[in-house]
Amino acid sequence: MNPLRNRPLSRRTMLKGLGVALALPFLDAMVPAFSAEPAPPATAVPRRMFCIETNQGILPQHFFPEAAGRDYQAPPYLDILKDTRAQMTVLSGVSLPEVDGGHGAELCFLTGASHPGRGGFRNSISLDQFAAERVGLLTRHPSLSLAVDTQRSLSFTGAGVMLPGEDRPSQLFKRLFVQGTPDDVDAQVARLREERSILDQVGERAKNLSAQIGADDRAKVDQYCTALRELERRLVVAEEWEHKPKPRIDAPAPSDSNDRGAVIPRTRTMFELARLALASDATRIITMYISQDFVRPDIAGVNEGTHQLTHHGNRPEKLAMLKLIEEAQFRELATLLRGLAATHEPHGSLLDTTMVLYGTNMGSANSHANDNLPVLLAGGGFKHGQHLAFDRKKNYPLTNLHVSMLQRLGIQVDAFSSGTGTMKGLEFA
Amino acid sequence: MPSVCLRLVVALSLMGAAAAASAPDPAIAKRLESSCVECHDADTRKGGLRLDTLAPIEHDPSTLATWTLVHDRVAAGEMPPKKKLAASDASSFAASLATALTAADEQRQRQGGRTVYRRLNRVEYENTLRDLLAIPALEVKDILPADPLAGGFDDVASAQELSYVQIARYLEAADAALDAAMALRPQPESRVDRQLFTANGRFFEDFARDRKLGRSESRVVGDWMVLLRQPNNAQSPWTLENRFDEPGLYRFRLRCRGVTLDSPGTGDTADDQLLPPTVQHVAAIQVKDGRYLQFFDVPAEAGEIEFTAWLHGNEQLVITCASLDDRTLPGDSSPPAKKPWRGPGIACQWLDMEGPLLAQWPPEAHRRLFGELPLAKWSKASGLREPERTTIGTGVARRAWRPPGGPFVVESQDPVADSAQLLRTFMERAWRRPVEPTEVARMQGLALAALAQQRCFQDAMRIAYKAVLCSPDFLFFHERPGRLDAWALASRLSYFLWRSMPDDALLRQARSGALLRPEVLRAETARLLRDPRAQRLVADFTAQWLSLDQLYATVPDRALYPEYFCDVHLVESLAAETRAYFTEMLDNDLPASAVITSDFAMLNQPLARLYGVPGVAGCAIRRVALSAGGARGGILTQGSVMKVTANGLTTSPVKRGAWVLDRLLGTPVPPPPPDAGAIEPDTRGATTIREQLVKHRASAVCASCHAKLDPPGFALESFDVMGAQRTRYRSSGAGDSVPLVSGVREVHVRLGPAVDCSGELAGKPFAGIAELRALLLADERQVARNLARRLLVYATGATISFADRAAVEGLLDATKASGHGLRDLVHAVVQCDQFRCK
Repeated sequence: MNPLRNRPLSRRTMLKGLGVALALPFLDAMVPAFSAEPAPPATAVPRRMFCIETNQGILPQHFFPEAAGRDYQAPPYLDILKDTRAQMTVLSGVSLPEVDGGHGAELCFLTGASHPGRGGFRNSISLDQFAAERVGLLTRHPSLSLAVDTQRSLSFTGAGVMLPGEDRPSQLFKRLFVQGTPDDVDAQVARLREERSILDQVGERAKNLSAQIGADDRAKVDQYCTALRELERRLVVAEEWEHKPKPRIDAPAPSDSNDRGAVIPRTRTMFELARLALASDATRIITMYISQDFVRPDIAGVNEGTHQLTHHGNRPEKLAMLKLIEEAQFRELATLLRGLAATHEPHGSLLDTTMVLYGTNMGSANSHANDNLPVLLAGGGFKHGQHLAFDRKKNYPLTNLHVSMLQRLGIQVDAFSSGTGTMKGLEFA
Repeated sequence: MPSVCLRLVVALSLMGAAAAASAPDPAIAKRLESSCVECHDADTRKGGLRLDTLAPIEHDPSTLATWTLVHDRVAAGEMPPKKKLAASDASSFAASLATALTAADEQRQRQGGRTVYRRLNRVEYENTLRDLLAIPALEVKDILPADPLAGGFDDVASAQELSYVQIARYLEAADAALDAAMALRPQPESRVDRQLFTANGRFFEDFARDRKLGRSESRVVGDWMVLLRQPNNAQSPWTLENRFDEPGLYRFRLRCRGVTLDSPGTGDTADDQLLPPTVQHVAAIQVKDGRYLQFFDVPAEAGEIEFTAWLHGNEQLVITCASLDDRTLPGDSSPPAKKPWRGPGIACQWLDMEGPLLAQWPPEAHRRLFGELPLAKWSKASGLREPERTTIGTGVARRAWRPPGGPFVVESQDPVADSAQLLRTFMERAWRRPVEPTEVARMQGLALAALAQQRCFQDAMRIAYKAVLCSPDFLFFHERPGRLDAWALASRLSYFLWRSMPDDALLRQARSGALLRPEVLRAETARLLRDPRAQRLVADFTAQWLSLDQLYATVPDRALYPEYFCDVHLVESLAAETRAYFTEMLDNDLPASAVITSDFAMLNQPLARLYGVPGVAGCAIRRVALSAGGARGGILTQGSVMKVTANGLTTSPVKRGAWVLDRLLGTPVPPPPPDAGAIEPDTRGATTIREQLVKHRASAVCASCHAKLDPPGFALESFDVMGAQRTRYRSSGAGDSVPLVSGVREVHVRLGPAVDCSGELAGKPFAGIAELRALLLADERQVARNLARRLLVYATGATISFADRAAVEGLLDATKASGHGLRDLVHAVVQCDQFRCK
């Protein structure tokens, strides 16, 4: 299938999107540095996840195939993705149970928290943060929360607090590839050492205490001491990351576009940076929130903003313009997927190790309905090449896909949010 | 020297006693072998229990728990089930088990204490930081992992775990709290900001069809913005402006009135009229997706609502029109612009926000860290490293922040003396005991080392303060086996009643040792209960005991129960009712029977409407007398209980029965065997849950437990998923269509089969809830016993073990005169040995 499969990792990769070359650091920087982490051994396949949401729906008539199974006839949007058809699964008849509220649902794509926007609503932990808490320490950045045209993100902590979305390519580039000044590194190292000195100090105290108390109590204090030691080990590793060189890029950083209509080029740049972040193992977990609101995207033939167009009332001229926008978006997705497939690493292509979840929060933006969500999953080590069709009247929970994705990352859970099992019909490759 | 000798003697004698207690009684082993092991061996393991390898009675907790189970089953005559023992054999076996168990358990308690080394749970951690730093609304508990439950509560030491993640989060939480406390900026300006509703673009149509008119859910009439619905048909509240960045206390003044909008539909709002309202309107100002700052009654005549509330800093605010909720039913209920229309609305003119309201600057929180030391602008020339960037905000969402004109540093002319003095004061509060100079010196060492590295004073002190807050001295309770010393007793008392650290007055009683005297302890208990912080006991204890924290876990089905669907004011009121009722029990020392029955209820308008009690208007909860023999009274039938024991769609007598037995009576029935099967809820109106249960109960295996479980649940079938009384089930299939009002609309629901709420409890028949209540009250002492046990677990952080049983009976005997009044019980718990010893 892929002639270059299983070749060793090429340390120089052309970055077509940015026109720059990436010098990957020696492999040791890409191997988990945590001896204490009960994670897969260094030889195990690295598992990655990239979750993308667009927030204004996707026209269902151009997305959902009619036939289920492997031999579906690709509708226009899927036809754009034909190069990677064998490496993706298209879903229909899925939604997030009890997630409604029209636009409000955009904050729940990865959390599945019910009834957003209503009084008493509190978001819950998102798929990426749940995963990052468990496997995030394997890389320099446990996760990245990216955004296009918004500073919101899809990522929520356990307390339901949104992590800010990084929407500036220049800043992202700096975080990923630009070595801090020696002063910056020193300051960060000093901070980590101060935390270690705190742990040393309270550890001393706990040791004294331990000598003065009975056996049952001592077990508790010993547990505290063990926890201190484990955290200290992690702080040492964090300090090692500070000294390790970041992957090097032989080109100036991308600049941040001020052109409000350049939604599509901005998406392209962020996709490319995300691919580089995955390729250089800077992180294995990324989310991206692509916001399209009132701004008119700079696409020939489109003369209104995306949000207005989604209220199309089925008028043909509006539908045609919306289709132009969405096609442009799918072309960027196609470029991303091809780019991942063409990036080689010891375990195959980057697409083989990266689950790319792409979808939206409304099945029909025209009616603000939150069922029958257009969603697809590409790559990442599943048996793909199919259209998994569920009941359009009684939707299948999308949160079960979240469970499948967590398990693919090597996290042993049976449930996540409203998901109570893995997704029916989607199997590990 | 003498104390060392004494300790040695005590230790030796304890070892001797331990040896004596662990010598197995041969009669017990023999009886176990002959009567129990046949079914409870490696092969059969009946009920999942294996007794052939059970260790002799000693003080290992899990072995004790198994032996306790054996004792209880034998004492109840349930075991052995087939080859029954002669009554005298059974009672002598049970008695010898009880003797051995009591001896072993008392031994364990003497030696290591009932409560193992216990740490603050996250609620206690947050409250402690609030009080320590004088930031009343500080939020940090969500940074910490959730605490495990044991014995129904989240403060039981034996269940507590501690991982490196927890320590990392302690570091993070300490940073967040210290950031919130440090005021490294000049005094912020306090100002009044007025927003006019008619000038806020959000109340107008998105796409400017008519900017004068308003949106389809709002209407401009003169200088009033009349809100007719929540926007977007999605019941998300209307967004307000908040132009304040500073965390702190703010005063809100809203000019508003309830109206009936009468529009002739000319399209010109000059023709619209505002008539008096037909209902009492309720609205709330809320943080978007977060807490309610205030629910309030909207006045019928133009007037101003005023309240103060804490903002964490630049929070998005919204206004919820609780009485204009259309519960997102299909179809658009918005008034058309061009047709005659008449309907309810809440008219708003302006909102004033004033703040931050500062009592002093720097705030008390900053003074607790830096005393009166002055601030100065940092400069590179000072040779000091640039101060750390900090965050601003007292809530979970904090922003990275750098003060304009800054950065600023705390200036100390004598950092060595200042750091020592500041740390000593802080540590004594934080560690809730006197500290040794060597302890201060150790923490100070961290600060001095950082100062030597050219860190500025506040950053150096931050390291020491973080260490103070991550030290076991802060995180754990310091209790030594035997009687607690006065300091440990002070902490136990304040963490029981306030879920937080002792205040200065309580620490004074500890320092003088007076607290160890029962009458002083009693007086302090009364004082702490009078303090507003006692509401933390009310909120936390009821949340756990009665699962109030689960109130939002399910949402009533929008088709079956349209009138409840997402009615947040009702759900908030359910929790408020139970807390107000518990407060009433505590303040007035109401007897334990008040759990089951009362001649009053704590109601506001939505609750009164739910319960069918007339004459209660407005959102404030007040005491309302109930007529005798009605369905209401006690905690038993409160809407909060009915909601947390239902799933939003259906009710189950089994689940409700099990809940009542466990939570209210303290006689839980063991969980069903794995193959018991489940009842599939059916809302089509064909069969009732009762009819389905009949089959289930026909099996002898199931019948024994269900005979206990189901009866209370049967009586509670007369309440729906929210706690309203019903005589027929709602149906999604067959049934009679009846109209009802849901929010601002009239809708139809279908009624299916009739509810049968009769049953038989321990051989005595009941026709419904009133008769069941009388039957439950027959054993009032059991209701009190449950309350006493739970209070004791909650207060001491240890579950009830065998030797504690006698102590619980002691609590009941001591409180007999008041009918086991709640306040009396709290005092009795505080005075008992279990509370006063580790």
